[in-house]
Amino acid sequence: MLQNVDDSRAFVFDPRGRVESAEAPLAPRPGTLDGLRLGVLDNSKWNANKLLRGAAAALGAEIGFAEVHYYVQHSFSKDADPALIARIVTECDIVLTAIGDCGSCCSCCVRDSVALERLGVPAACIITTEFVEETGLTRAAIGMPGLRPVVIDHPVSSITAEEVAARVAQITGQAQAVWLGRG
Amino acid sequence: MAADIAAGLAGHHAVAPGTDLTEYYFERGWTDGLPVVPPTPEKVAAFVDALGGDPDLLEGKVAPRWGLLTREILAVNAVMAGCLPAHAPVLRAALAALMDPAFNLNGVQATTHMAAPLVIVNGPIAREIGMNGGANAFGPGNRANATIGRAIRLVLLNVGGAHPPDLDKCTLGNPAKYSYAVCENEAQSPFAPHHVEHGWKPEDSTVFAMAAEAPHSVTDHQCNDPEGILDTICSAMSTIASNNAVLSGHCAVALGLEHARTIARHGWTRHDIRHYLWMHSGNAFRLISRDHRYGRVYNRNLPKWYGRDPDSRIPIVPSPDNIHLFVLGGDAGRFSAFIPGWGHMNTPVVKPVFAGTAAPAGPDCAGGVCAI
Repeated sequence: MLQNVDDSRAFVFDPRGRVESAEAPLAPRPGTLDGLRLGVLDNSKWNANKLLRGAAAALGAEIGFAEVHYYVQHSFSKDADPALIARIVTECDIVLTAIGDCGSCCSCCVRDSVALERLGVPAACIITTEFVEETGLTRAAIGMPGLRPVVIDHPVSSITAEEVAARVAQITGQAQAVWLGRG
Repeated sequence: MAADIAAGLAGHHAVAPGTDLTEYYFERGWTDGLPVVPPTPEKVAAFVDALGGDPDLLEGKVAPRWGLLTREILAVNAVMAGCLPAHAPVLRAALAALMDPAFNLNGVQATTHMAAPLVIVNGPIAREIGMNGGANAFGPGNRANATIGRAIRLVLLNVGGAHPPDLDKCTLGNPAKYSYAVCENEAQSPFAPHHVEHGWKPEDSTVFAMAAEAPHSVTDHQCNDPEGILDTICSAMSTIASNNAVLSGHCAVALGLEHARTIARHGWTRHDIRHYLWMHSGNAFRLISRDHRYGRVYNRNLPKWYGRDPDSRIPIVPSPDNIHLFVLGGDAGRFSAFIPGWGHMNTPVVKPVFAGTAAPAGPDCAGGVCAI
């Protein structure tokens, strides 16, 4: 019977295939954020710009950044263009990116952050509570399980200005902890 | 799941004699929810042979888990789906299209949208393996359609790791996520096949893949000219509820045989049809922006060159070339279907079924792959 394993073949095929991803370390963490160049990577999802401009302003009130650069990733459900990542790496010391509030944009935000970390730039990737589990699996699958995301309340795309401000308040402390490698 | 990813478990597992394999695969979570055909060594070996032998040869990596799709792993999933060795070349070409970077499988797998990879086969191979592009093409009853589509899904689940609700974050899902593979009805179509329109030879066999919603029915029993029928399809296209409306990208139209024959009798070509559909569908920007009721809207996901005045026309896709036209279905019935895509995040890909097929010369083809 094909439905059952007979005595002569006591094994079954696993249909999943192997995964080959070497675990990569995070980028080195700075001792202080003062004097660093901040890169803000907007993935063009609804409200990402409002959230990031709010967060950059709030962080700028606490930290003396040397420069702040703003970049737009024109497809939130695709990985950032490698040329854009390369440019950010030359112009910035740390990066804040958003927003991972859907399946594909969360995955791509995390992948962009991992790409930046691999090139030596600490990256704080903002996702929403609904995507914490997915983020963990994505980080494991692409070999950087140690990269902590910044987690804010879901949703982001349909919220009011007041709700954006409340999300900004959730970002500032977590982002600094990610960049400094604390907590 | 996380442990599976970290450990990269694979290969062969020891089991007790007498194990019920159908239940074993259910218990491991290695199915699409339906019973699988237990992959015996003989069946797997026969499918590997049909792929060209060399079971360890790597066909690609499947996002978002990035599992290694060797020929043996592809064969295991194909047998589980019920495929025959004769289906191997089409299945491999379809997966190659999905793994092409232009397709953005990582995003398609993870998205909350209900997009599923739509696969449409052109050329002689579809007839040779008995695919159905005629009556009930998108429905059940044809082994090649059903099992090739199912094998694609099993690879996306098992090797790609896109199990809901972990890595597949789809809000609602879509019945087409079980199986979504058809062929064009070339034998009865009054027009040249889709792949010939894109520069391939009629004797070439190709696979077209696009991330897509399920087909939306277009009923028109009244109109007897191209403009009337196409206006009805434009009506189905011109909703603000599809991803295409707000995210641009590509879409497909399944033109039913009766509609196709009526249009062809008036001397219209595929080019005329696609351009008419593009020109006469779309929405006013005031609908996309909801008249700015929720704040000023620009919508960066639509092309820069669209107008943003309240009455500016926002096309469903940026160009007639982004409307992919296939003649499908049976002899009877004045029905067509509109198939919205996922958006600009996905670029449809055409791959030849057999290696060595010369790709059409053009700016969008490189290395035997055409991103259209």
